[in-house]
Amino acid sequence: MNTDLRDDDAFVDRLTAYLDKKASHAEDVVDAGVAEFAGVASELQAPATWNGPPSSLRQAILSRVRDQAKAAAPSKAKRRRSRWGRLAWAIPVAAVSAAIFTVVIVAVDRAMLPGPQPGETYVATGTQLAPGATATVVVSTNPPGFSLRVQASGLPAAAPGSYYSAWLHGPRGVVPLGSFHQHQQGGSVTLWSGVDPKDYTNLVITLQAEGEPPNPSAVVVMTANLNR
Amino acid sequence: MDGRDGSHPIHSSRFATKVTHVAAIPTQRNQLSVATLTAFRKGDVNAFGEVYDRYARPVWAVAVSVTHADQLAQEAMQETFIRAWQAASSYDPERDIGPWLLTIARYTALDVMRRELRPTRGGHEAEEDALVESPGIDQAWTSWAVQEALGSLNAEEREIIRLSFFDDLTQVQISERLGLPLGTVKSRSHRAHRRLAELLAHLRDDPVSDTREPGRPPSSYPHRGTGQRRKESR
Repeated sequence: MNTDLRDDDAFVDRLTAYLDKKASHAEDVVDAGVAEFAGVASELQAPATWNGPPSSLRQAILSRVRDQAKAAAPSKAKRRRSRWGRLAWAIPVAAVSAAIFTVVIVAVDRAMLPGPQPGETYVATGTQLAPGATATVVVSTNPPGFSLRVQASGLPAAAPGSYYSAWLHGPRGVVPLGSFHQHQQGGSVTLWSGVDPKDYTNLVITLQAEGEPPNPSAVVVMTANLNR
Repeated sequence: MDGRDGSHPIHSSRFATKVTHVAAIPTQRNQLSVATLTAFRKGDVNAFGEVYDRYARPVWAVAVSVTHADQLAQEAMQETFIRAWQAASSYDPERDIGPWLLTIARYTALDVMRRELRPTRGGHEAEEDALVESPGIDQAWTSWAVQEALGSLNAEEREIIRLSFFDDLTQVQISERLGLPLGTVKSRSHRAHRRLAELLAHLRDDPVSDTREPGRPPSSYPHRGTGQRRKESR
């Protein structure tokens, strides 16, 4: 048995003796040198020790706890709802703001872009294969290249299995510009060129047949002189 | 070992050396199951009710010992359990809940006293906290420990101590009241006193100073948490 346990035993002995003397209403209990146990005796004599809390407290406390538990659950859901509520309000606002922002940015961007230079207009005329055909060709300079907007009239739609093709002819050779079929009359078609049309002498429109090699055919339907 | 099987958790190396030959451990007041404490931690109201039923008396004893007034003690009692409920998620159900509640109860009772004694000056003059003489942890702990020890006695032992100390009856009067021979009353009283003294043996230790805020569970619990000290031999 170690010292702690001996001390515990001595403590228990002293406290037991103290309680015995108090219970027997002995006069010498204070003189016995056990004042250290006065706190215990005080507790044993206190009404609160024996009476306990009022029974009504239990119901009052449990009611408060139940109320808090109930309030906590809806408030969590409400917080979730309110978060979504705020989001529901914020989403369209954000979308509209983003749209406005995009429009502004695009507009500014477009405004800052070097716009197409005022185009030069040429007139194409039909050959003997399309004697009634005419076209205006507006050549404009754009960042991606040169655009040639062709507004033709009197040019019949290309037959099935055939198509029209535009070419630049000049000392540097032949450059393809693109193809169209002219199925809808009155419209215009924009062709693109990676070379400057001014460096070429003629714009030539040919009738091509599907399946043939991508070279200018001999069937020229319209021409325009670019060196005027 | 969690102390809920009637034994007590070993929290210090000093006691860790004593566990090999345990004897004569007085029956401890029923402890709450880990399942109940876990449910309490999760906010289960029924589990909270069990915690209340188990610890209402010791919390009340602390509240009264600090406030010395029934109305304030009731206020402190309510606040203690509400704070415990609100702080339940911070409680570790593997540890004894008693010291955790004792800490909350003591600080809450002190808060109630400070509020009660706070001067009301009116106007916009800043108020100052009244200086409340803080009952040491000794007093609160003694109140708690005595309540826990009495709860661990059987009804016969508890009754004879009550008649002797609270009703202030002599042993002759007790003998007449209970219709028992005086010798029986004396021997029964002595056994009850002995058992109570054993249950309060931990009071010999120096009280643990606890300065944590209310509702904050201690990071480690004193070994005397349930009011029962493991004894290895007697």
